[in-house]
Amino acid sequence: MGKSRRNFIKSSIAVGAGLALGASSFSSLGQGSGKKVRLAVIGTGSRGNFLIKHLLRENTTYNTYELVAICDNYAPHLEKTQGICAEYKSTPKAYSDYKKLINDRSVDGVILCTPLHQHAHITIECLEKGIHVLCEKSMARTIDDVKSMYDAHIRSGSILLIGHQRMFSKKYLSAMDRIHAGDFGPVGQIRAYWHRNKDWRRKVPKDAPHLERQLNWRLYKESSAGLLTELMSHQIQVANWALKQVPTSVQASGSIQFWKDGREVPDNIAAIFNYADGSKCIYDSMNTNRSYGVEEHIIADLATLRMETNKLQWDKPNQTIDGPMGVAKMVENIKNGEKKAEPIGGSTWKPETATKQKPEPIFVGQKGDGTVEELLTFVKFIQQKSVPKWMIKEAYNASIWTLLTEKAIDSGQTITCPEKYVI
Amino acid sequence: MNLKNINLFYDNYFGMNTLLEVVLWGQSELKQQRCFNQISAGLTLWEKILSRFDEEAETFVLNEKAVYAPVKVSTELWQSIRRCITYRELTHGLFDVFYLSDQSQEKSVDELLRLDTAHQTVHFVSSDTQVDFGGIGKGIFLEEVIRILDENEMENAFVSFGGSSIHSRGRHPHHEASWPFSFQPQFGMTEELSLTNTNLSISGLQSGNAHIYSPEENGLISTPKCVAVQGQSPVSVEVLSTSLIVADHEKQASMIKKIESEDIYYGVGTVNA
Repeated sequence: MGKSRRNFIKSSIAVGAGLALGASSFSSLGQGSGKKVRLAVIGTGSRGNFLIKHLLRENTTYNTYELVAICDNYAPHLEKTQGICAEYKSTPKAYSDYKKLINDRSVDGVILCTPLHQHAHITIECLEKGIHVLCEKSMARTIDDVKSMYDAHIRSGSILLIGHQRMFSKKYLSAMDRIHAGDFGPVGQIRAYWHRNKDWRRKVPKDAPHLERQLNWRLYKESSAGLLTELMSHQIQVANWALKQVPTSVQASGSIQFWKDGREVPDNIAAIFNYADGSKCIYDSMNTNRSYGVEEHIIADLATLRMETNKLQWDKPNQTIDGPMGVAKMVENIKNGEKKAEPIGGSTWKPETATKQKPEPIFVGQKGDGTVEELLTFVKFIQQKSVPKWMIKEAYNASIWTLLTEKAIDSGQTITCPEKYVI
Repeated sequence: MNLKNINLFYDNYFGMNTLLEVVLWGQSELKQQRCFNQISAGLTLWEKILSRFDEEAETFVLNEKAVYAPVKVSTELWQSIRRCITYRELTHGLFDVFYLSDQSQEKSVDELLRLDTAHQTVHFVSSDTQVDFGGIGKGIFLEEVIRILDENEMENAFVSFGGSSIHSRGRHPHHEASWPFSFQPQFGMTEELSLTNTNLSISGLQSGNAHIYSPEENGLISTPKCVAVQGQSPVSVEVLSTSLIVADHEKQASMIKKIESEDIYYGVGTVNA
């Protein structure tokens, strides 16, 4: 396979063991370097505060970084974040203008949690000033902006990491290693969905209705593609990662089916991604029922992995990628002159019904969804001044295909990726 | 051994929601193919008798109509019901094709249905009586397989019905006297068996430590959760393997005395639901 994806993944496991996922490795890094990485968070809305709380909490254990600055152009958010920081006895410098923050040249890395349409220009400005960036997913609002961010990363040499936290989760890393090693046979389908039952609205002050588009940026097409960029982008990244491919085309449909409240993005979407080897990713998302929740089913010849709920369920077909099993294998052995007993006996396999075997965990020991590891790994990458190339490629392709899915919805056509966006 | 001379035959067929696999050797290609064709046709036929899911199946129709009036049934279905009633008694009610009926365990057969031998009719006397041959259908069909193999003078055959119901006769082409057989590794049974002219039924097998039942130890050492029963009747071993899983020690000993078997293998693990 050469420097194959499997080797990339194996490398990532090594990275995980040494950099991203092992608690002891983080503490040793902090002791060794001496100089703390100076971090800033731009965008202190809900996601920004979520990450800031993680940073401040983990900072009590890992002394490798400090939060030196925060920034938001919406004063109530910034004030709230200052209060959170105070609880942790942290006093980062507060900015309302990101340009002033990055021109201060007092930060090594920026964690960018602004609305989607602001990702590209802020990221590119940071990268070109030598400031490393951990940008929330999805990368950008337009395909051209995604490409510009990637190009700026390559051109500047500054680190660009995208907030696909599953890439930092031991559970996912372990599963992908086994999938790519062929433990479960070829993957035929990814079935992924994210179902919620809420309007996704942020409260707008009654005396400031002009803030509607700023606070509810996820609902308007100028600033977001809604379910696609905010949710699906995570899961198409997982699908591409599992299949070790990017799609060849996407077909999709979307509608504003329930929340007819002036929003511009669909609250109900479905998409089919086609891959060169014939495998598929079947995706849907909605805002009007949460009973299915969030899941990625990775369906391979020998087993199904339910990634979000950490379940591995074996299937028992009598034919695998390595040849026949059971009686068919016995017949093959006979033809080869062998008389050894093949493992045949077991409970009846009923392939036409949903299997009821008790699943086993994919991985034991992963706490959380990988966000903590993502943040600490960003610090580590800044210290090392390097980032594995496969990570940005995963994020890039996830963002590109997320936005191509929007094109498929808007056009009603099967969409392929223009050559100029292929990296 | 020259494989061309032995005419090794392998084919499979799907029925009763299960994969049937047949290995034959030692007869002419034509005869073996004809034998397999008869087996696969027989499977389709028996599914049309025993299925409670197929709207055209006799059991489905029986479940739908027998509560309203006596339903005349085929000889095959009639005999199947009669045998299941006998096994219900031999297993202290643990093997119960009427389990879908409301509180079936507390009801006698007479409270569930009435059989008219003269007219070969079945009448459900309880409004919720239902029949399900799911626990015995493979065994019944293996009897049919044995009959077809006998008729076609097949001396060497290995038949697997979903890996859980096995019939073997004669020997493996490269083995002196039997068919070597082992269990799927995830179920934890490490025994390697030599099967010949016998039937094997496996129920609820799952990982765990396996051991062979010993009559000298006066019953089972621990509650079995995985059971493989070997014997001359494919129906008896099917019933016994199913019933032993849920029986207490006293009933296990009673059933083993009453129902014919050759060997019983136990695994202690969790039931594969």
